Amino acid sequence: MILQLKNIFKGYGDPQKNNFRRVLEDLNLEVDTNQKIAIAGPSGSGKTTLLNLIGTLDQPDSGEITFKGTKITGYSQGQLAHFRNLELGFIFQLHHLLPQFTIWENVLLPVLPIKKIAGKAEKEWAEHLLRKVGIWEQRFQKPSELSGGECQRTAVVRALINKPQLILADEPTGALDEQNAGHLAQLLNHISGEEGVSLIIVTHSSELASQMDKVYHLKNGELK
Amino acid sequence: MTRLNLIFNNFTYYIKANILTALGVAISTAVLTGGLIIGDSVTYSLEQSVSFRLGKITHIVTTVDRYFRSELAQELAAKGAFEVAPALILEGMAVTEGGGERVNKVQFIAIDNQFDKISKSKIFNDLNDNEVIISLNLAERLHLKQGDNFVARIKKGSLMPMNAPFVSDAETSVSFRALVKEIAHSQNMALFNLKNAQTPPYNLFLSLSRLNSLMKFKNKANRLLISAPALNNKQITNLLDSCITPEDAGLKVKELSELKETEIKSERIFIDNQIIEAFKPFGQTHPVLTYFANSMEYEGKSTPYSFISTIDDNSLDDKSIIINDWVSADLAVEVGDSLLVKYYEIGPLRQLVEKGTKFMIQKIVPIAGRYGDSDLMPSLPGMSDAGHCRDWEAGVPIKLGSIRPKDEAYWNKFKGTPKAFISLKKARQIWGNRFGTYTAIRISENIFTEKKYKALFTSSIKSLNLGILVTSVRKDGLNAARNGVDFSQLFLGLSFFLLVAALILTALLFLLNLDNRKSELGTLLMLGFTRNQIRRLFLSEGALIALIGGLFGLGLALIYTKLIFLALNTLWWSAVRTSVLMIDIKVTTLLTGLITTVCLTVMTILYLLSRSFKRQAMELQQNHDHEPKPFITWTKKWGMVIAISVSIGLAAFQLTGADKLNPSLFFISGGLMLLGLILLADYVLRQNRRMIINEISFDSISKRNRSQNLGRSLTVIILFALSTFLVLSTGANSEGLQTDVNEKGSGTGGFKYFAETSVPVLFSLNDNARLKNEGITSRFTAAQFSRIDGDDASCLNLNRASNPAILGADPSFFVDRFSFDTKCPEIGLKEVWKAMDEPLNRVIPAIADQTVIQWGLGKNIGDTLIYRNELGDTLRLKLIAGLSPSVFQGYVLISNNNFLKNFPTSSGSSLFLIDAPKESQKTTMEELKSVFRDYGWEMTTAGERLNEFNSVANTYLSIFLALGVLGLILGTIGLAVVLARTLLERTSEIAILLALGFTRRQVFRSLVWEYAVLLIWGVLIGFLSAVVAILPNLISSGSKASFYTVLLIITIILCNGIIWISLLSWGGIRKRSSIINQFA
Repeated sequence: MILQLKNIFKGYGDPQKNNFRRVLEDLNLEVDTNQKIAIAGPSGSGKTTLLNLIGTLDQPDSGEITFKGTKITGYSQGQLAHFRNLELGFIFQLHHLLPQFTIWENVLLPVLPIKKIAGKAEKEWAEHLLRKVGIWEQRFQKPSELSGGECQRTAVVRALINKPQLILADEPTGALDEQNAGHLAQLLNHISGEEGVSLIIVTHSSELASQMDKVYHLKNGELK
Repeated sequence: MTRLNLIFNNFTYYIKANILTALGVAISTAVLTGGLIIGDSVTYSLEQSVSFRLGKITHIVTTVDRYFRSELAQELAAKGAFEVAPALILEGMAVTEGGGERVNKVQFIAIDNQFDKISKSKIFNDLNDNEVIISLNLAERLHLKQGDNFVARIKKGSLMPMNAPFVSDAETSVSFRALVKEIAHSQNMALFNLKNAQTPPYNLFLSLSRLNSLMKFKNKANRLLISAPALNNKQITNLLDSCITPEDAGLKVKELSELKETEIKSERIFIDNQIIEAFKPFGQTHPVLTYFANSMEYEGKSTPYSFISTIDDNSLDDKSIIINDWVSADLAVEVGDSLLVKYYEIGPLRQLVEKGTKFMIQKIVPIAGRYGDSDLMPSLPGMSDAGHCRDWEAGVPIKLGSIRPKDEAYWNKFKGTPKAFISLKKARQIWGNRFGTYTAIRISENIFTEKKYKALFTSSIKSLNLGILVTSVRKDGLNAARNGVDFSQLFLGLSFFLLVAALILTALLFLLNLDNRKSELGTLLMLGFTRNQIRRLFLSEGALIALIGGLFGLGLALIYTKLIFLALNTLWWSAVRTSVLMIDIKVTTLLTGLITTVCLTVMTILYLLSRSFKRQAMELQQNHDHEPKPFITWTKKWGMVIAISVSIGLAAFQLTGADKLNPSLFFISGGLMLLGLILLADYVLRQNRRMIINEISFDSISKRNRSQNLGRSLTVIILFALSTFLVLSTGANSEGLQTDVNEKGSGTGGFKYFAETSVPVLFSLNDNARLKNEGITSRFTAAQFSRIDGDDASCLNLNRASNPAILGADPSFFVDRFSFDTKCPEIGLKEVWKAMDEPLNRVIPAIADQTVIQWGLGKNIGDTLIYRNELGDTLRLKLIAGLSPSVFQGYVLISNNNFLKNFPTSSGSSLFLIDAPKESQKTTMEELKSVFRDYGWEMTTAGERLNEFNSVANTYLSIFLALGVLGLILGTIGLAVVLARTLLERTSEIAILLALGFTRRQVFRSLVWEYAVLLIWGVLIGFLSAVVAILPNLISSGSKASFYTVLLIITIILCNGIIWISLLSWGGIRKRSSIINQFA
């Protein structure tokens, strides 16, 4: 098991006041190595909150998150950053590539928190991934010069550059047309299998969800 | 809902942002309008100071070292029906009892009751005996109050030129115990000054009769103060000419009944040729020249000290002499014997050369009749009235040992009756001098009438011939005030960077506001507004902001002006040297400031709007990397190459090829370097934008980030480059001004001391025998200067000078001393001093400080200054060279020879440069100060004198520095705005980086480095350019252009920038702590 969430509670607002809203309530989740799961649910059900908690971008009010058997909920900010950098890969609904950088620079960016300069191995790995997603030729172009699908594929490469154990994808096909969405779903599936990476996708798309090993529905703060 | 409503609602909704932008506009308005108000106020203050120093005076009648009857005032007033007051103005000093406090250069103004009519004050009436009224500044300096006593010492006025032959120099000053009757304030003529200068002199008013009695004069004056607004110079001169009498020329008539002749003599001893010419119509006039000979010698025998005169005797040739029988007996000579006559020839500063001429005795005559005429001896105070030969004060050394009892007996019996006679022609040849050619005119009694005498004088002699000039002092003063230093331009120049920084800040704030309202733009477009309509909407809003900011800025301008004036009246007093600065606010100035700033702001906003719209259009076209047009890129590239090359070339040429380093050229080089390096920064940033990076690193992502928003990065670079350049170059210049004062090529000429006296010294300070007599034993060399007063053309005077004081100098003293900034092309650099004595066609070569020529006089090399010389002729001084800043600032130098030709009766020196060996400098200073104490000797090191002038330049630099620092603060605020805005835009980028595993510290370091590099670039560009600009200061030997000052300034700029960057970056990252919001 790569990830375990135990009795997670998360709410927003002041618990003493009326504006408090409980989003996640006694939530439990287990993800195995190489497992692909989808989390579905209506808007406002807490899907993204859950993904942020797993991605350590946010902290639960209570409960415990363990990654490969290590509790990460008590990590310091520095440890969390290091954890995110090495163990997790993020793909967002919008690609969130940095416009000032070329594709090549964008994908190698996550190397820098741990190394002063991207080494030969990382560059070969980046080349391998870029060739695999079919944008090797465009590597010196900037995001503004690429299509939405190409940018999202770049984001996938960026998520994989540090060979993470778990990829978190928040509506990865949400901003793409049907054709590109299909291609990206295929790509995620393929890469996850080939690279042996676990995948948690938050999505509205039933088509994408259906390609996952398991689909959870988040409702009233609980996963079912 | 109307458009106006829309604008107003927008304005109120975004009130905070709009207030910030309006503040930027307010600062621009304050700086611009403040500068204009300062200019107006300084001009107004100078105009007011004309009223303060002149009262109701519109014209003055002046003379140089001459005196006329004080009654001339009444006669002129009666003829012209205007107010005229006589005045006798002399220079002196005031010393408190006990000698504790001493003030030199006090203006003693002797007046009578007519003065109150032109002074607008009654306090000057009925000054008795030793009662004086002193100006407030003098009272404060000497800590005097009403009823106190002090010692007043005045330069001894003399009716005869003090340097004329046989005039005693024993008494050069007189003193009296003055009683303070009143202390005058600015409202009652405390600032009385006939010169165009805003610096008030120390004034002492006393009664005309008292000063006349102190000078042993009878009803004399040397100034007429006239209040005749309706008349011009010519009209007053015409009236004056009709009033002038022979007495005003110092002429006196005496009837010689025994000889049946009338004698005309002059109080000035020698009579000008033009006076002789004036009386020629009498028919039979006999000019006489009587001289004092040291001895008449024959074969070892000598008759000492005799007067020898001329006689009309056609048989007497140039080689012959007639002696009286007393001499014949004394020397045992006979007709036909050869007699050697020895006499002194008197040069400048009483330098005596004994000369001898041999004559053959043609006749021996008894002491009777024409040959026994004691009136032939000129009236010489100190001699004429001496009871014994031993009591003579002859103005030349008298060997008392050579005077025998029989000489005393002759003096007792015959007084100054000449013992010998030579021809007039020969006498003129050997004894004629610059003071005149004759000592008397004899006219036959039967043809002389008083009426004809006066009529001939009036018809031939004009006031100008006597060196009496009418000057429209008020008109000239107002012109000088209006054309003086333009403080508007000066302050706008000095605060230019502040103005630019304020405008950039306004632009940045407006742009920030605009960016925050991008979505509003989209909505309006969607709602069917055309781009022009939206542009007009935003422009109207911008104009409203500009107007409100501008109006607020006018209020700020008043505060700014008050603060600057407060500083000018205290901290920066050196720049204005007056405490009478008054603020003058003109509606037109306020409107000019307001309209200019609002227009500038609206134009900036218009530019920003069109740029913003263009950018939006490009964003829509997904074309982020919009490149400028090839022509612009090409121009920038070649502009960069040319600017840097020319800058290096100019500096290299100056360092290797030029005779002398020209600071202006270096400043131009620095400016070009600044431009070139900024263009280089632009080029590098553009290249970074296009570069292909294989090796990704923190450094490479920083590069990319810096080039992402080129405009903002360049704004940061330009702001800091400019501020560093300006602050460094001014700061370093300020230090550098005090360098090299011991070098011969410096502004001191290598002279150690600079001295001035209130009473002229009549002899040469290089005459060791004379110095020994005075009790001075130390050895030194002194350059002495004759001086004719004029306008102060130094930077201490804000008025436009037209006729600066003239100094007569001996050019041979200055060869290889001082340096020249400019010169006439036909003169070699090393020949400039020599050229002062070279004859030019009807003009006299003159030299002045280049700063005086350029700023004080508004002239160029080769231009001519027009004066009147002592004889009333036009004197044209051609400026042949401009000195580098020197101790001569404020003066125009001509050669001594030319000076004496034009001002022959000007007496002595009152300005000195002294060079002494290092070991005796202290003794020299002490001895001179002690011996010349009563001359009002003021001595400083020449370096201090130079620094006094430099203090003005330094003050300007301080103002520039202070305003530059204000600009730097605004620049820093600009940087903060750029940073805040950029960080706001980069919120999602920061969140992404954090999500990708970057720690906050890494993101913080990356951001700080990114902006720190821009800051360092800016500072480095400014530094390098400033180094080029101040290279002359840096490489001059002994330069105090302090490395530490430069280092300190750079450190402050860098630290200030880094602190801002760090605070804002950290705040930016902390604020985005909930990065999840970015992805939710």
